Amino acid sequence: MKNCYIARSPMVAARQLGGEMVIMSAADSTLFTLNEVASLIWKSADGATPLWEIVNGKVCAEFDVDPEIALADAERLVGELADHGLLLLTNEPARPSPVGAERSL
Amino acid sequence: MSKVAAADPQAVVIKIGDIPIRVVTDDRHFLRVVQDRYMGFLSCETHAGIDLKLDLTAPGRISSEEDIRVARDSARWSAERGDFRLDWDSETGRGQVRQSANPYSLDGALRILHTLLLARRKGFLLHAASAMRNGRAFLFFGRSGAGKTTISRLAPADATLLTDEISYVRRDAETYLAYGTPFTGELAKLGENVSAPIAAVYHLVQAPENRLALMTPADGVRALLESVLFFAEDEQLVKLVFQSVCDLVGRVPVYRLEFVPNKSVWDLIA
Repeated sequence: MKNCYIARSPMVAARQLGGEMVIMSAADSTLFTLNEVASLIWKSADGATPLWEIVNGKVCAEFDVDPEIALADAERLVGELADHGLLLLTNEPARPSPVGAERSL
Repeated sequence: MSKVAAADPQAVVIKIGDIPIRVVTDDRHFLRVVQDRYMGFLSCETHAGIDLKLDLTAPGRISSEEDIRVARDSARWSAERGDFRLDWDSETGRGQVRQSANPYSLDGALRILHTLLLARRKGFLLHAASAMRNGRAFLFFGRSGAGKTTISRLAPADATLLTDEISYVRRDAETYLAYGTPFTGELAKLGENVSAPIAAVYHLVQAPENRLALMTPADGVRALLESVLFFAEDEQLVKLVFQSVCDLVGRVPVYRLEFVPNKSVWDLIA
């Protein structure tokens, strides 16, 4: 997953509620809840920042975790979220969204 | 009601949650049935903006299938249950209900139409009882058998029943209002046609003793979403409903209410 870029799918609605991020797939109304670390990764999923940079720059800066273990956990997490259609994974950074484009949050 | 009949002998305007819907039929007998069914929710408005023409069929012509299918093709919505088919154009506001002369079928079509209308008005229908007391509304939701009808029956004399079955929730400026509805459950009693700001929402659980616990916002949203009535597989509207539920939970406390079925439970409410 080197140079993996993650972006939130436009097919979801999400809301930060307390310490949890609640996400609903608009396609089938399935609900998902993310813990604090996963919420941080979710909020950082702008399609332009590589996953390793999110983990090193944000997750490891905010939580006391080993960078290698954190990256492995993050890769597993984004893989699962992508399997559910909540995240889009690419090997290239996404182009900036046009002005006025719908956002998932 | 006589004013309504005089204004248009083939139509009646049913106004629920401040949204008037004009129902048109040339069957005068069924029109009277509809007027009686929605007594208290009839309006004298002549231009409702939303028109439904009833295409009445012979009884038994439509199946008794209970599943509901709601689909959209551009601005044209269709909703089908075994006993009715609703076609409605969201741009013109006009539509048609094909059903037999059974008010239960019209009730189903109106509920579905209101779920679509409410989604864009920052509201939703909730499988919940609701009551108004001292100018504030309280909602009670839960699975079938959780006690919605029971808690409605146990309400003190100064409480006004808004519904024992389907609560009507709609944002108004910075608050959420609960409106009375004619959608009834086991009590078979229409709610009062009034509204009030929602003060609290309760997730009902029958238990050996009364106990009240504040739910986390995430738990509140998860529980509420299970009781929201929404049938359309439409991504835009699903998102809007989700956001409205989250918004409500951000403004109003959601409690888990364990209760024994006697009047003492109301001491915990309000």
